[in-house]
Amino acid sequence: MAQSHEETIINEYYFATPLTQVFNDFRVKYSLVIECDSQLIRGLKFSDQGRFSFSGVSVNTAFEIICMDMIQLSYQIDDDGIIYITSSIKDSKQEFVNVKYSGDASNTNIVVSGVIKDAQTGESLPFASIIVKGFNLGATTNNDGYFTIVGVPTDTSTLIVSYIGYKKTEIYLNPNLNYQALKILVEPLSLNLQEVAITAEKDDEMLYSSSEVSVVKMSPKEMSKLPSAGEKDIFRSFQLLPGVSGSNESSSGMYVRGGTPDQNLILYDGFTVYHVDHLFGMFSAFNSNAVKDVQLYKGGFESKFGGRISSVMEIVGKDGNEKNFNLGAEVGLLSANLFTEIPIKDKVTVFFAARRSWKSFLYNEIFEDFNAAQEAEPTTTSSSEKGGRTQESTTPSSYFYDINAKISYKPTSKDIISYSLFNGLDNLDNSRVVSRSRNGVTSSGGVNDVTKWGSLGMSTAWSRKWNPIYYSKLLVSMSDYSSERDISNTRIVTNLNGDVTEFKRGSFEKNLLKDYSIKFDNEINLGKHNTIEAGFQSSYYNIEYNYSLNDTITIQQSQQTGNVFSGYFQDKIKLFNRLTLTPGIRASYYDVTNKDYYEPRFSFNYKLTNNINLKGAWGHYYQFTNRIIRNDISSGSRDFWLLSNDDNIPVSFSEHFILGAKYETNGYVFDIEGYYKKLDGLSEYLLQFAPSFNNVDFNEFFYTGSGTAKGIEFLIQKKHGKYNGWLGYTIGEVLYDFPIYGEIPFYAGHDVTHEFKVVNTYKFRKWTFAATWIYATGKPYTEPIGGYSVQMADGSNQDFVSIGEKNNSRYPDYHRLDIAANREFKVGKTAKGSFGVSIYNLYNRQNTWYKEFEIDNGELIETNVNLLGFMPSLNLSISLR
Amino acid sequence: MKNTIFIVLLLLSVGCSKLDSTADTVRKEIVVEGILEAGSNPQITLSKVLVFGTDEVSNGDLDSLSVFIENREEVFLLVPDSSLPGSFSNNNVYVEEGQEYILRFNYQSYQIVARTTVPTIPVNVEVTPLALGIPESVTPGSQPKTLVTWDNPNNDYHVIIIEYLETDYNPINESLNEEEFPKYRVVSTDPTNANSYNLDTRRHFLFFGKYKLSVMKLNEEYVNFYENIGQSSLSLSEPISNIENGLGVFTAINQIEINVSVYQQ
Repeated sequence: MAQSHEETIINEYYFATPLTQVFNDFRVKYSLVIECDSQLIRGLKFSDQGRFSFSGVSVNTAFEIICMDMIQLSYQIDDDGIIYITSSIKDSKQEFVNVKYSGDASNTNIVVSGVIKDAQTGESLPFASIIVKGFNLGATTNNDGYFTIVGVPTDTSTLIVSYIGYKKTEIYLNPNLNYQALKILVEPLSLNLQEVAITAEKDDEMLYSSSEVSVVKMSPKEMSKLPSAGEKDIFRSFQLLPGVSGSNESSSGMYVRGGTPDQNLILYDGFTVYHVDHLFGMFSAFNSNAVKDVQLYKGGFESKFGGRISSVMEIVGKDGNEKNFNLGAEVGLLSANLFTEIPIKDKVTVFFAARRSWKSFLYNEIFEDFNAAQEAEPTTTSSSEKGGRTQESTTPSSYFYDINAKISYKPTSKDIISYSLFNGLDNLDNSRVVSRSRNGVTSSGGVNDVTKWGSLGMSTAWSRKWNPIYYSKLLVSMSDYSSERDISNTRIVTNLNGDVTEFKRGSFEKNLLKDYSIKFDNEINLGKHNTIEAGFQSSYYNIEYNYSLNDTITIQQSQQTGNVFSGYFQDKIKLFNRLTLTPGIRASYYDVTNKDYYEPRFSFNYKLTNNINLKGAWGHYYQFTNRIIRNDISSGSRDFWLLSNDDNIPVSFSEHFILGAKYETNGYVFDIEGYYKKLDGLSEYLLQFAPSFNNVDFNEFFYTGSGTAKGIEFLIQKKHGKYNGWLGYTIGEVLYDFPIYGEIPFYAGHDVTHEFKVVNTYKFRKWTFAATWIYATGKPYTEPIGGYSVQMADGSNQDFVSIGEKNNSRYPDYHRLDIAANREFKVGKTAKGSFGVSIYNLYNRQNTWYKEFEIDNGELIETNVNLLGFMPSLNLSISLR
Repeated sequence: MKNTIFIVLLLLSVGCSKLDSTADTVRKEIVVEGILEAGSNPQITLSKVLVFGTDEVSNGDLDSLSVFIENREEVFLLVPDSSLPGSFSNNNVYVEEGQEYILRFNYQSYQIVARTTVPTIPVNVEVTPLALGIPESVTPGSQPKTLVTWDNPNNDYHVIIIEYLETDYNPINESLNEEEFPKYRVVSTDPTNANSYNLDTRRHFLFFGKYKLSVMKLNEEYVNFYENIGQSSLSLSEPISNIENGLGVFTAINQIEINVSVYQQ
């Protein structure tokens, strides 16, 4: 290549020609490979003034002329003939080095440290992988994008940075660099990249299955190309992974490896989110435009995480563009969405996003589908009878919204101070107004049917990379969850004398949870073999729950407070360049039970060959806040949070055993993991065993049990190329053992034996086509096996169903095909957008949500209540950058 | 190492086996209906669960069972009633207040057992007023009510059964559908462990005329059985039964009867 440059003569005429076009000419006409940050040359124009057009110039001379005219640019040509255009202005922070150093090394066994950022926006990239080429040595960036690698062989080593949705980039160290304060910029994969020749490998994976045990991440940017039911959603996308159940349409919460959604720790910028559903759980409360990175720990998670027994989802919100103002909007058939990114004087960035529902046909269909299953359908009636007249009218109003805001301040290159806020609310109102007149007596009032839930969370964090070996983060957070339900009748009666009487009947439910936490996390790189992580956390909980009927019967009324104080310590030990052992322990004191809880944990990773990793984990996990589900189809299933007390609600416990292997080539990943989990201290609240009469202690109807969950997950992924995607398969079993149901364990309600998922995407020019198919064994339910009639004390005959064992039958198998097409486009020079069409449940499979039973003349009448059918949706987004 | 992993994964796989959940349980197919009343002869009815999807079952073979009732360590055989298949009684035994009765019989290879204790008669039952006058025009929510009270220091469960005694129906609310009249001839309150209950013209007295109120003291096993929430797959549960190895209820009641009337003012 270099040889050919010497022979190449450039003979062109340019007058005020954009440099972008000049370089494109060079690429097309002279087959030059030019690597250039498009931001660097934006707006620059070049006139050759006869220097090219008179008799032609060599490639070297051409670039010398260009860089002489534009002194802010410099160029380098490497051994392979690739031409790199870089900034000639020395930026002390900018240490982006993409030319291989040809001299000798000056230092060996060095510590390399720095931060990895998006080249276009300047946002730091959390959980990016950086490895030393040719060695089993590397690191992952932390939440703030910082990394440290101890024991890098020489100061001329090559680093490889990879991050899903970004170009895989090689960084060449050289002795002149301050390699303990590197700022590495990586280019995102986007339309802009088509302007430059890409020599680095595309890292266009949607899914990244980590070599660490049970850790997986997906690219929020790539997720948007997957089909959706009206709204792209990170939780729904994660449900396409093996080990995460994908057949729960009525909840966007995740059932991970036999766990329930409340057993997952959902962290958004460090604060816990207690409820993730929007619109009956059709999708989650997290606006994907506000999310920078999502990482899921499916089990065996590290000691720094506590308070949950199943999994951890760590969501990092966007900081905002550090370089340019940006404004974007998105509209779909369920909601409209607006976001903006505002850089202020280099050191401050502001990000703000807001989303609100609007009522398209799709919104109404989802609303009515789920609402009709729980309550009478809203009606408008007018009847006239015997001198009386009744008017009943309904104007169901329901909406949801969410807001994400983040302010980041970087006073120095070592410090980041940030404030993040999340606020979401669902208000489903199906109330009706009644007006009645009869014999001169008028009554008015209505049916209140309001379900409302929302979360407000915020965190303030200060993180500092003190030096290459020590990083700390202090975070103060609060999380506030509220849920209300009011299903009641109100009547205001006015008689002939003008006397007014008010009546109210119905059920009222309210759950308020407040979580105030402080966390202090530390990372210390003690050398090539040890990375210590240690810290503490203190959380204060205040939970209120009230459930009453007719203003008179109080079923539940509680006000609980509690504190959990935790400390953790873990050491990541690297041995023989192949083996990583991570022993750790978390110790907690819970003041409600006045007990200490110790959670020893251990994980390992062994690089058997360059392609094969073996991995495993074991650990103890405790949970002190519990979401109790009260199944009640007459008024809809409700859930509420309560604190464990070791009295009627035990502290939940789980022990994880995980073992797996990963085989990875350049193009494919094969991953297998087996897990076995012991569960104890599980709670259910079952009013079905409670008489519904006065003077009952409803606290008695909490039931506790234990269980096991086990399974094997398989993943085959094609990582790159026009066609990519994955196949996931999980075989699993979740058994519960609750004495109230008998002595024999039974399948948990969310047990799925087989679950198979196929995710395909195909890129054709600016189009991306995607199709996903899910097949899952039907979930268990308790089926009536017979019926009988008994004469009651009043002489009436009452029909009963006789049921078999708990969860003795299964719904029909679940399957669903979704498809989508997305096209990206540019508007003007910098603005970009995308347009998407998605069809949910393409072949209109009638998947069963639940069944209703009725006995009529000794016959069982069974009614299937189905989940969503065929549903098309559209989506359009546009942003300045 | 590779082999070890393979073996562990294989073991995990094999571990995902089908549950044999019914191996050790007795399948409950006999339904007992037995409400003993103080002062009466014991009578119970046995039947079989109708398994959905099968032909109608015959209860005829149940008559050949030997059904016993025990009281004070004496055992009495209940005799089948030839006119009512599955019905058993003993005219020589009278149910006594405060006594425990044990029902016991064998069916196939297992024994079905249930026990109950006859409650005491409700004490100091008062009804106010005994004659309830209904004005011509009634404001919804301000209907006249009949208050029934009784002593209940132990929070025992009581139910009131309201039986309309007239031959012809004379509805209070003219809009009540005539076809539904018989449905309201006998109505019942929900069990309560309070010491009073208000009866009204919307749910209990739907006709003008004479009524018999039976204030009945119940046992907890009946209340547990009576409560039967949830007939959907999300919350389906078997009614709580006090029959070991069977379904239904075996209980006892004790009641006092009072006549009242409802008239047009």
